Amino acid sequence: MFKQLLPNVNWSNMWEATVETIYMSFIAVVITFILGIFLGLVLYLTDKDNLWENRMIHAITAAFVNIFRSIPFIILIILLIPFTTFLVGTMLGPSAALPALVIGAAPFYARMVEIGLREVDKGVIEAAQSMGANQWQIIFKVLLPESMPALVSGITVTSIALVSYTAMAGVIGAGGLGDLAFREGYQRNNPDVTFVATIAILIIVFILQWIGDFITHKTDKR
Amino acid sequence: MIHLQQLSKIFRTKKDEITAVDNVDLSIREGEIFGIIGYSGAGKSTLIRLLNMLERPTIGEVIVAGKEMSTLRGKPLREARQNIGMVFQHFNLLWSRTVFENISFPLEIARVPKAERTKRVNELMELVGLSERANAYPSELSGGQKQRVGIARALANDPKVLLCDEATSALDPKTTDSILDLLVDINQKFGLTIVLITHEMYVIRKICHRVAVMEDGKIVEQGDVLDVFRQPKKQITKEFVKQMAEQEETLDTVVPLLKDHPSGPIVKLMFLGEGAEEPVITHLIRQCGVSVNILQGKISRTKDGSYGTLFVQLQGNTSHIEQALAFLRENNVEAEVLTDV
Ligand SMILES: Nc1ncnc2c1ncn2[C@@H]1O[C@H](COP(=O)(O)OP(=O)(O)O)[C@@H](O)[C@H]1O
Ligand SMILES: [Mg+2]
Repeated sequence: MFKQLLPNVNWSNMWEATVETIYMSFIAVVITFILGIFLGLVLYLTDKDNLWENRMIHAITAAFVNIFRSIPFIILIILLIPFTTFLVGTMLGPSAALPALVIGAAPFYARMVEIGLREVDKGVIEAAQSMGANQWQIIFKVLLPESMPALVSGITVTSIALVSYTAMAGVIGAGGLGDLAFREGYQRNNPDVTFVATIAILIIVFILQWIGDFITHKTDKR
Repeated sequence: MIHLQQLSKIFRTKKDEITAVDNVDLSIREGEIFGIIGYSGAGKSTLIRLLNMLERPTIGEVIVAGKEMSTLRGKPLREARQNIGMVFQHFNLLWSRTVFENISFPLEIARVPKAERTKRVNELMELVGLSERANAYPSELSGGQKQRVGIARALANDPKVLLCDEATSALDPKTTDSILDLLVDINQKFGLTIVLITHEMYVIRKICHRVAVMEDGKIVEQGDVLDVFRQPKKQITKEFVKQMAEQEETLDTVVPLLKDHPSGPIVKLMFLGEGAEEPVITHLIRQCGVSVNILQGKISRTKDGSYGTLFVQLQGNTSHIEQALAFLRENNVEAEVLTDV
């Protein structure tokens, strides 16, 4: 039945592209999560009246975040070609998409992390200080756990954005569902391929959203 | 236990300078419950936060448990802080942790081994009466229960001093009483020195041994609670005492009574903690030959005796009434004749 409705779909290619998309997204989400939390912490902690108050570092980090957050992703990929070639050694294949994906998404997520951290009750931080907590204990035992629902819902939104970034990265030869939809579907005029690739992306996005909502809900004891 | 010397804290903002704590000298003894009362903005919170260096002094000395706190930084300061528990008005619990985990938190910070932590947390939950709620999250607790967790947490590392910043101000009167009882209990059981801040005279009255009255960053009056109560010197102290002893509405309702009872002066008696009110009234009737007609009043009992206001009408001849008023004053009851109200 599929054969008649979707005559041009090569299922093994489709599956391979799906795996590539999942691979790119997954690695990018993991690195973005770590880097975004790091940048978000720096933004938050160096802000006025906070633990590491430091105008200079705050301004530099904020500028970096704002610039990379504002560059359209497709342009970012092109700008990063020399950097990626240097880092990965090639501009082809899923791994070549990773630098651009992370650099595009981490600043975006860092801002969400910063907002989440700002929501943490100052009184609770003070209570921890009054007990003799050091900076690391405040970060790992207070700031991060107390902002966890915001961190999780932020990474959910970011990971969905990352899936659509992978589709764009496909255009420069990174592979994945976006690449397949563009080359096999659009350029060779096989709308059924585009259609199936779209469905596959939607399924990935729905699953991500569902997992994210579930964890956010689980961690939120407020 | 605590010595403050010429302690000042000045906040510099862009526009101006605020002297939140102004040249304060204060000594708090080991094992006492010391109250600091003042209106909002008086500098009470700043003062108590200077005790554990949540604020650093602009000038002056802060000595807690033999340590000069303002010279400490880094690790020595963090260790000194573990000897000073703090309880907050808004509890400041971690919402992401259960009751058990919240109480365990300061022990984790002090790197107490797991087995010992569990044992200690169980003891503390027992102490504050929350053993049944070990796995509840703060959002599932009442205000009073949250404050019990706050107190248990503050006691976890066996501190020598407990600081309470408006610990009962967010609670209803009944819960306030139960928390105050818990503080007295802890004070007696462990000989813990407690410094508490409040804007309610009731709290001072109920559990404090000594009190300092704070206004505009300065301590304007201090001493034993009873003395300060009986002989308030400063206007602000009088206001606090009044807030306590006088029931405004009672006074209003007494005025109409004057018309119904024309046959003798109406007297307002203020009991400020000297013994109980019954023996005084009984003696008044027996010794002075007056009859006492109780009109209205509110008397509360605390650890030091009764306090409150009683409106009575004295009936008898003029010399007996004079005698009665003299007798009352001798017995440290303030008597004010109100007939001309
Ligand atoms: N961090 C701060 N920066 C500037 N002013 C402050 C700060 N903390 C307190 N103040 C000021 O110090 C004064 C005393 O405040 P506070 O100690 O909180 O009083 P209280 O606890 O008695 O209500 C107030 O005028 C308040 O505005
Ligand atoms: Mg205050």
